[in-house]
Amino acid sequence: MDYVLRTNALCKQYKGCQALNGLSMNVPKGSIYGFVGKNGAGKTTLIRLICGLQTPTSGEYMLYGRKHTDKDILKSRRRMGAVVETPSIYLDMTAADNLKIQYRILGLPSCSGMDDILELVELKHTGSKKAKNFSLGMRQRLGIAIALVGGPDFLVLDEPVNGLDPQGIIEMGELILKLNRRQGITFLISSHILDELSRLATHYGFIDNGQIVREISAEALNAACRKCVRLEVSDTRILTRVLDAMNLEYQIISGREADVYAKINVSQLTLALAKENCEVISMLERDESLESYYVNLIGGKQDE
Amino acid sequence: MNRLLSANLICLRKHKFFWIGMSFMFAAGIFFPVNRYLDMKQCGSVNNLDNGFFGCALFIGILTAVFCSLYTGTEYSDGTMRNKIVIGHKRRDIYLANFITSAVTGIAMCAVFFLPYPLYRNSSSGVF
Repeated sequence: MDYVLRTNALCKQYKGCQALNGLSMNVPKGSIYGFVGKNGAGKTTLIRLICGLQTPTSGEYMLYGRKHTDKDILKSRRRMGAVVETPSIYLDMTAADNLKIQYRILGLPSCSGMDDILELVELKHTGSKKAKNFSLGMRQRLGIAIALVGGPDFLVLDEPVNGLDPQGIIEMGELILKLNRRQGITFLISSHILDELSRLATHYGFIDNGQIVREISAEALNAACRKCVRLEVSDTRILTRVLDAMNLEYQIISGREADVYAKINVSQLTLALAKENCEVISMLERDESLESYYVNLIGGKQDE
Repeated sequence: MNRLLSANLICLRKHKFFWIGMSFMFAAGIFFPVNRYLDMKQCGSVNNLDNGFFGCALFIGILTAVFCSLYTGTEYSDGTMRNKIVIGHKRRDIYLANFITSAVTGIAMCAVFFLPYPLYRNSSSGVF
């Protein structure tokens, strides 16, 4: 599998604080990587490191196979765009002027493609309206438009839907999906709004205390969060025989617990187990959302 | 560095205070000699045109201080410096480009102050 970004034991220490503590993650090419963590977990610090705004204390990261210490890392940086914390736009200029300046900074000879970018982010008809008069959603989209100048294939977005209204969140999500599907742009998105992330992300990285707690694909996460009934019985070997006879999909968790991924006729199952001298101790319906998965994951780490 | 200077030039052309400063210095370049001429007519003294040649020094310090804080300060407050660093420009190049832009602006404002002077020169004596 091709990876756009790989980090290896990245550490970043500020004077009294270890912001990143051996963080290792991999962002596959073409994915929308959702970066999830609580406030102060280290998401923005990681994004600032990989954007070159700060240098790591130790560890390394590789962008398109080039180490961050390589002299030609600039070639990899030209393939990425970023919106870090807040959109970096000139408030006293129009959307078109902001893009023209970015073209000049990149050294691109002409501003061809500027109209396409503005149309893509739905800012083509802003005319002479200055960025300071834009709504928050428009500013966010302008920030993404600036990041798209030069045709990057890796975009890093730090909480892109922060402060947006529900309509703005939907529009931002649609834009991200459009860019990923039509242009194959890889995204690294940090966000707190897990519901929105669950509609976009193909991969997840859960971060806590400066470390990646778990990396998981969306398919695996959906499988882990599937609706099921958790049974606690006296003997799962008897349970498996009964469930096999009933043609029900299940997964054994331990010697006494199992998850059943089907609608259960409770009476039939209990009677069948009772015939085999197997006691049913508890039966619990589970329907895990991304939020509960995240809370259980991070909360579980704190209890260890 | 050329790219940064080119981008700074676009920002400069669109910067409101740059044009306010240039207009002020041009107006000062007209006002100073005219004021000296009126003083001369009133007092009967002889005043050389080049006596007030560096009157721009009175204002240029304040104007460049205001301009630099507005121009460079917005790079930090708007966060637009991040765009330059993310795509690979070094911080020293960015700072140097901003310094050059500010210096060129100061020189331009002084030059604009001198622009009206040829209109006043008495070709025979250099005196009003």
